[in-house]
Amino acid sequence: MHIRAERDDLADVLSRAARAVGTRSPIDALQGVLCEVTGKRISVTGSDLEMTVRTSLDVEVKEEGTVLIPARLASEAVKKLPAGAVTMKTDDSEVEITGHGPSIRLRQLSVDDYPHIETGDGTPGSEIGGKELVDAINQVVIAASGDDARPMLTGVKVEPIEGGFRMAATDSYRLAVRDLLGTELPVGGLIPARGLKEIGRTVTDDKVRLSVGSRMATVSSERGSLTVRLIEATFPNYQQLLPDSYPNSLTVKKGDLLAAIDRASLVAEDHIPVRLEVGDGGATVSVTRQEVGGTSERVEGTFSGEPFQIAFNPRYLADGITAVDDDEIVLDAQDGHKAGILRGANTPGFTYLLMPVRI
Amino acid sequence: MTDRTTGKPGKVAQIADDSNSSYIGQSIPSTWATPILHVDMDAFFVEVERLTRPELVGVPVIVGGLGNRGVVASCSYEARAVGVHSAMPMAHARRLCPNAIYVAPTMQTYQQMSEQVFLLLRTVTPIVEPISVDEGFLDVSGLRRHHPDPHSVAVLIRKLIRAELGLPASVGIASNKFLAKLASNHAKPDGVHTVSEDQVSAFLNPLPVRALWGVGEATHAALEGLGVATVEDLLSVPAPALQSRLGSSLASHLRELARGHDSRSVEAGSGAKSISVEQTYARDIKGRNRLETELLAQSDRVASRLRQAGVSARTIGIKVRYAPFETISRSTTPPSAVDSSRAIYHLVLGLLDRIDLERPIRLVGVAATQLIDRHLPRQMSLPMNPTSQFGGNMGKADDAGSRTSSFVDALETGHDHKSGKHLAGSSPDGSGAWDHLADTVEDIRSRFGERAVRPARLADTPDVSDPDRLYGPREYRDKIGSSDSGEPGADDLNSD
Repeated sequence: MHIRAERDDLADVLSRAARAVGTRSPIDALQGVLCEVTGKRISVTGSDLEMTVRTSLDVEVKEEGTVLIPARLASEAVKKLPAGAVTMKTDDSEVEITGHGPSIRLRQLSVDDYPHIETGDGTPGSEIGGKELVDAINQVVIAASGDDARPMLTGVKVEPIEGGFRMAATDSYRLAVRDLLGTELPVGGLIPARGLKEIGRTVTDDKVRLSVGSRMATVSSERGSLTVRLIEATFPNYQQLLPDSYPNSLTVKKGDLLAAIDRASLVAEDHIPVRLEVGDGGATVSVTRQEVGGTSERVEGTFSGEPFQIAFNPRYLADGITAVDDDEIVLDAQDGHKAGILRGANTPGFTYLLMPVRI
Repeated sequence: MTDRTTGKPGKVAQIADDSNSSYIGQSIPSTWATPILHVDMDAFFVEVERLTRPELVGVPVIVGGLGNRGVVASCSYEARAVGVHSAMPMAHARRLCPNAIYVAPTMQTYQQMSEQVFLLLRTVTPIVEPISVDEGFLDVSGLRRHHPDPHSVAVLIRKLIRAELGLPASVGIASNKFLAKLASNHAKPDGVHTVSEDQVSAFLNPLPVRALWGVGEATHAALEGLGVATVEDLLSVPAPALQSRLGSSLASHLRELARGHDSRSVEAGSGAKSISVEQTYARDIKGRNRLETELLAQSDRVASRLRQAGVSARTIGIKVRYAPFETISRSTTPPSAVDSSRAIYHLVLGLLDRIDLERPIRLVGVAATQLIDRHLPRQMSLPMNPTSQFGGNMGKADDAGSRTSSFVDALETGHDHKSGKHLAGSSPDGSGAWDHLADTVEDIRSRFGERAVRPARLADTPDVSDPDRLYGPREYRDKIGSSDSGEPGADDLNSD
């Protein structure tokens, strides 16, 4: 293998593929990125078997071939070379990366040891705007759990709805649901949140294609493809949690509420809940912590229903408010013991349901 | 051992106030300089067995695991006379004392009796700190108006325990916990011993350094290297020499103890920093299925203890010892504190994924730490359940009907063992109906016994001791003391 490319372009394809490489892989070969050079292109693959990112770039090919090189080392090495053209060529058991003088040699990993990696199963994809998809993902992944003991909660449930598809995630304390209309998806699946979070940093583009097969999901664009293995677990039946209407409803400015919670969090930290006394004219946001102090402030807004009190984990509450893409936030609730719902006053499609803290 | 001192601290405060006012300008009588009592039941398991089995009286009795790798949990003074002691391998005990009557432990009975003992102690003073099933500290300084000296309190305690429960107890009296514990050891069996302030050095100096709290194998070896055998020897070692051998904190700790100083106070109240249960097996156990069953039983027990103590655990850990003696611990801190069997077991299952299950295991345990008042604010969980028998709508989970319909599942946890899938209802929390259910279960147990309600998976676990169980489960409170115990309901087994 022998290629010549712009430093920044090569660093880009290497580092994006390297994002799928795990830090602790049981298989040495998976510490590497696989660089395959054919025709006029180099394609770079990084994988931890659960998630695979494949990127590609048009380069000047002097000699075709395939090498496996340490992922992070290779991308960092290319970045550290002087700007301009860079060459990468096989030299015996090493790969030499050279640019305007400096030359870095990296020992190759054995290509034969690299496992066969499936990327997609031919399921046709549905086209969707990259930003639209990434924004929606960012809204729901905040509710996903990081607890590997409960795999079904570490994923985002993607399923077709009329006129589009829906994404949902929950860690059992909160549930985030986002509807995306305009792109039909034939079937759904439970996609690891960890993989979805990487889309924005790896393969997103103006337009992407999303496909969900029976075992994996793939997002692809001109910049490459990201494939994740679906979680084989049953996602909780969350539809029952989404009520048609709530008796009590508060509307406030997003910035006001967020700022109040931010101040309350100063004192709250940890597991101290922030209390909301909701009634006519708005809400009083307060927090009290023994031996530290407390905060209390009034957030003006409009209210309908019976006044109620509710307390939330401040981080969970702030996560939800931040995720709502609207200047005006609506908090719907039944009472202080049932879940509250956060949504945008003017932007339907996103719902964040949060269980209160019992006080 | 729940601390149910409700209302009593107030009373004591009043007594203390009264006594203060009447003692203004006077010095406290010298005997009240030693207000700390260590009450230690004599051969507790043996004596409890003797209550219902007169044939055990007056003969050597050894309680412990009867299997191959069994260990002596408790032995009568007749057996101690020939050299048998607690924690000795059973095989060794059998050689020393072949004519003893060997009894498998009946932990539930001991536990109940222990609760009686502590209830009795709390009628004397609310300042009672249990350190295991059969011993505890008392601070009786509040009783100075009612008793001439702490010795008189000790006499009363021994008389009460003997009269009401038919059991012997020894009491050590001193100015602090460390000395009181050594004093009770000196008082045994069935006696009282006071280490007065002017006797401290005479009492401590001849003792072996091992008597000092904190001297284990390694420290003992280091001290031997310095030629230190007794407490007196230790005091003769220059401080810098001791520091260079043991490090400054351990060195100063030991010097303090050697002088008879100990600043720890008697902690009444729920005080425990951790509640844990562990079990050693006579034959190593293997395989996830077996381990899960054991851990479920332990989770259930830990939950029970937490609820009795009115606390929730912010952190749940498991401990696994592979044969031979290689112990690993894993722990997790969920977003909200837990105190139900279901929630604890759920977390335990998650931790199990971080354990090598292919290797034979000698000991497993479940520990609850970072205990907090269970009435502190708690994050509630979404009422989700895929099978929908529980909470079809928001809020429906509070209905009495759905509570009963998912009764068994509440204890069984939402982990689907066959498919390996985790069910949604299994979120670790104590919200709503689950919490109510766990309270109800605890209430039933407090009236009808530990085994009245059990997780379905444990329903066919026999009442009679499993021969695989060495001795245990051992339960720890605050890691200070331990109780040696066994499965309830074991039949008596004679060694011959």
